Amino acid sequence: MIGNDIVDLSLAKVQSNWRRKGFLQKIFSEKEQSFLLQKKESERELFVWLLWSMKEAAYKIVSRQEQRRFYRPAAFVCKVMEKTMGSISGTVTYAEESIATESLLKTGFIYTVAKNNEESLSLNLPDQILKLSISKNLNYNHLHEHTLAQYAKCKNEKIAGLSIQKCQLNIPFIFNQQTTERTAISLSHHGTYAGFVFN
Amino acid sequence: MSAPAYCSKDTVRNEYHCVLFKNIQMSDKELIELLKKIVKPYIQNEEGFAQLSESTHLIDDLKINSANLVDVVLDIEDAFDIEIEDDAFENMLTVKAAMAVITEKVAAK
Repeated sequence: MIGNDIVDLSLAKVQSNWRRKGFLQKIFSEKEQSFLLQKKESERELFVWLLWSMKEAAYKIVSRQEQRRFYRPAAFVCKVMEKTMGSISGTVTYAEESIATESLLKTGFIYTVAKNNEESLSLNLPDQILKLSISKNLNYNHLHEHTLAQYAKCKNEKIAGLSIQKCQLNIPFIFNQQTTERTAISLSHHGTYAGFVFN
Repeated sequence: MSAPAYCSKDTVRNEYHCVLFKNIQMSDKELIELLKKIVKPYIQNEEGFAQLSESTHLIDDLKINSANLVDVVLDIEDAFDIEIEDDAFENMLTVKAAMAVITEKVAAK
């Protein structure tokens, strides 16, 4: 299964005050808090949102598996492993399940994909990101169209019969009208960035 | 876009104490009004907010950003002088669930 999460860093700056009393304690374990404290002051904000996006991406897998929605960020424990060519790999542990993550850190955003199987992704991380223009901000149709076009291309399927639908829990999947096949996808949108991922 | 108005919690806190002074116990209606003031700085869907009721979902209907749910929990704690631990806020995704947690925590004080 897959899950993803994108954080628009300039929007996060105005939307959230992570320095407020109690904020970090509510979402991070003590280990994660000391990991953050070890970071240089100038880098700390970036790492706050890196860990946050890892937790969110992993949550999407767990939510799909358990077929329920809940809010317990501190139960998703992040470990940042290594920095390779432009991306950061890590793991998120939830209730003894270990979920692998890969994150991209760019000037304007952080993007994380979580996976709990060996299946490879159809697209590289950078190709899963859509930069929205201000006018298209919050326009989900645009994200859906783009995702379907990329999916059709990767899978060599006709786009005509494909649609993005959501289950009762609001979890999205691609539905193929011809074959009635459903493929799990994960979508994330924040500010002027959006990300989509499928196997 | 302006920064969230965290200061609103002081108003809510004062109003909460006024409610208690009058009634000793809050009615559901009074509680919903206080909750409305708490979530207002974080909502991104005015329509959902205008129709806010017990069944309103904080993420689906009000489009509150998931990182801002932490702020909602912290603001509730401040306004009602309660502590909400992980077990309690895990399911606080609807107005109804938030009301239940607040009522329970306030009663246990």
